[in-house]
Amino acid sequence: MAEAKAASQKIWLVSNDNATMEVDRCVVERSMLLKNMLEDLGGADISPENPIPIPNVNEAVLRKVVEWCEHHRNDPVTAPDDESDARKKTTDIEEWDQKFMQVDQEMLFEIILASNFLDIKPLLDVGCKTVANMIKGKSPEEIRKTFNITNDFSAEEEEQIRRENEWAEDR
Amino acid sequence: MAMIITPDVGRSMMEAIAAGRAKYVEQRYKQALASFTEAIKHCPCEVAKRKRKREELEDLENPELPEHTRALLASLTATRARPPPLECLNPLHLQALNYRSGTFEKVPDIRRAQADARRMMDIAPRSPEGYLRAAKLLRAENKSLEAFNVLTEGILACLEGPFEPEHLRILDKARNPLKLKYAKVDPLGSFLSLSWMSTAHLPFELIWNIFGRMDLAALCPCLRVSKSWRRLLAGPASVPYWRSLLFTGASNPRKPVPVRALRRLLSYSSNDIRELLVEDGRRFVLDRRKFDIILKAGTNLEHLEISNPSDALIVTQVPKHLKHLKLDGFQRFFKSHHTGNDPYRAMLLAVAPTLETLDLAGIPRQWFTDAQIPMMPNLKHLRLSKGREQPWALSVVHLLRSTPNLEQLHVEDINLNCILSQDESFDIYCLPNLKALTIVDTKAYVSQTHHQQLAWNHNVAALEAYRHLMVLNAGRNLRVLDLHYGWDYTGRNLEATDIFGHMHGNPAYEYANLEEFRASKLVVSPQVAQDLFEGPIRAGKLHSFDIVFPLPKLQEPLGESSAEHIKKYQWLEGAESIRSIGLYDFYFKSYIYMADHPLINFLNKLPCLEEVRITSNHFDTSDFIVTLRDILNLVKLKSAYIPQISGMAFERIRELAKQKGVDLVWEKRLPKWPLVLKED
Repeated sequence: MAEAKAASQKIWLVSNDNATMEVDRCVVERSMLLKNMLEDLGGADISPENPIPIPNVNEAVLRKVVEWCEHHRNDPVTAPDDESDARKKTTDIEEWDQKFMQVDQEMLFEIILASNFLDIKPLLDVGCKTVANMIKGKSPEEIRKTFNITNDFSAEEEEQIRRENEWAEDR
Repeated sequence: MAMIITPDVGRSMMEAIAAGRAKYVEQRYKQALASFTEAIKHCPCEVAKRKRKREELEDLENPELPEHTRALLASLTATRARPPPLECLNPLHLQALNYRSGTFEKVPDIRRAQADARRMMDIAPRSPEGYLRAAKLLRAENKSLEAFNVLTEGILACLEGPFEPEHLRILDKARNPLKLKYAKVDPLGSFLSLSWMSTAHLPFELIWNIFGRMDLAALCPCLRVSKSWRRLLAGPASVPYWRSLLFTGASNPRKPVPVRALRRLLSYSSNDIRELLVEDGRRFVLDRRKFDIILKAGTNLEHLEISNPSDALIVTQVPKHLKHLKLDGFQRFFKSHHTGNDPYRAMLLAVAPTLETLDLAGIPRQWFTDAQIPMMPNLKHLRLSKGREQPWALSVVHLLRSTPNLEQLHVEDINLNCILSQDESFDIYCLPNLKALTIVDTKAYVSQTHHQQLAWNHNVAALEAYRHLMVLNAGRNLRVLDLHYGWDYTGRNLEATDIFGHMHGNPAYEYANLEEFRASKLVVSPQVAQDLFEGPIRAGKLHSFDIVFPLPKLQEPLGESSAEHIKKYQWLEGAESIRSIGLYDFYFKSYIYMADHPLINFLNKLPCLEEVRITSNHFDTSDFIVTLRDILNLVKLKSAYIPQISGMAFERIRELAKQKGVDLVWEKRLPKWPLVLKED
């Protein structure tokens, strides 16, 4: 009973640009940072007038993060020892998360920074996987184009490192 | 900058602006422009500018000043082609410029409109108006990227000044429709973060959270992107991330890996690799020289896997902590004149003391004949395979003596024997820690020839060895038993070839702690299965169980032998421990009344069943689908592993599984080795 009550308890968050949001406690607890904080403080005194300030996250980003947590509210919490290398190596992303991550690059990196700050590991992983997938299988020139990066190698330097990587190239 | 706007000036500016707006509404743009220009001229900053200019000119022409001073002034004026941008805090100035730019746009005189927008950004760099105006003009000309960059420039300029969230919001809102296409972030560089209200960059560990997910072949092009990428990804801070070099899958070399490239890759780890995997040594061209280079950078190597080297590799330097070793195709280089110094045998001898996991496909020649198996006191997992190409037999007795702490043993197509000298007896307690036993023997099979003659093909010596392995520790410590072994109890007079031979003879032998019994080809008599497995099932231990059905008899009514076989498994009904069941090579006819379906009835009497694993070669596809459909429809499941189906049939089953909320797995699962056993 106590658990059910705690899960439906409401929590209010305020972004660094002063937007207040009402979120279920179990959704908020996807963030290990906030979960630990709520466990320490109980959270009873949190109200629309006295919300939890989230520094370094603005409204647009916080809404995105909350949206993700809402959708994944019932996911099992992965134990820290599940963090095997094999899991880290994958870049598979489930369909919903892929759609969720179809955002501009600024937002993508903002989500990564916010999930890192709020300690939401699975969201951080989805973000990093998304970036990894933007790089994987691309030539250096295609990578530069994707992220608008200037090639500052001289022609000779470029030729030398190209030869070193030849074994890994398709042609 | 302090500026005094007298009421007079303010009034005349406002009046001029109002006049301009009135003309604008009347579409008399020329007159509107004149009014806005007049308003601008009234601004004290413009007045001051004109005054300064006049003074400069006067100085230049002042005959009282000496000639060289005038020349100096002239050169100064010339080099200072544009005066430094002059900020102006007068909002009316900004407003007048804004209106004038808008009017120029209408005329249209885009160049002047742009110049005014630029001027707005100069006099009020921390106000959004100029950037918004410039972006609007650029977008009208389809220069969206430039428009996006102007707005970003505006945000960055605003962030330098006092915090004005409203300004940031307005500018960012204007960027929104352009972001998806033009917002580019260099993952290794800094980027504009509105959350952080400044430029931000990813912390180093997040950079490797991204790049650590890529294999070698995807990582290498990243080193060629730019100097800063190369510095970060292959620099000193990244050393730990290069300790694993896995030339496998997509990172299998397309061309031989040159010595130079190999040295370079090793250098990224500061010549201290921990893991190396070469899946295709022939394509890599892994020869002695390269192996020597690898070992020099591998004194702390813990994990090494090499398949098909292009040379008989020699260990020139022994890795001191090697725990995991997998070698494939090393026996090919043995020459009979190599008396005593076969490099393959020498390599294993050198690393044997530290090994915990050893996986050999192809076995050193001397292990068979001279029984020179090195002592491996720390070995926990041993897999031997592909021994059939080698015509000799390996002594199980010698093997087990060399691996006293073994926990998992996997023998796959190895000619084993169990020959003991006269004064020896087989010590069934010689591997006290053995928890998992896998025997794969693809040569052992029963084939049905005409007239129901069953032909048996097996190796009597190997069978005897298997029987000894199966009674180790009286069966009591074993947790996983996997027998990929073709045999059918219904054949005549085959007791002598029963792999369980020694198990049912002795009442003290019992698989008391067995958790998984896997047998994808072995047809066990239901009674024998009851003898062997009822104990661990009733004890709640055995959770994964396999049933292989016997071959249908010739001319039997459809599905009769499978139906009879499953009925004899009545003893399994109600078993709460069973979570996963494998059903192989069955054939059931289609039943009209499902209450009569023996397989459905059986499955529904396993109260905790979650998963079925199914393959059968006795069906044509449509019949097979009917049975699968009945199972999915009538048995409550979480997942089904059916690697066999394809095409249309697959689509139908997938649809049904989705409806029923069953997780359908059809990709062939590669068995993971070593097995992951849960701790007690």
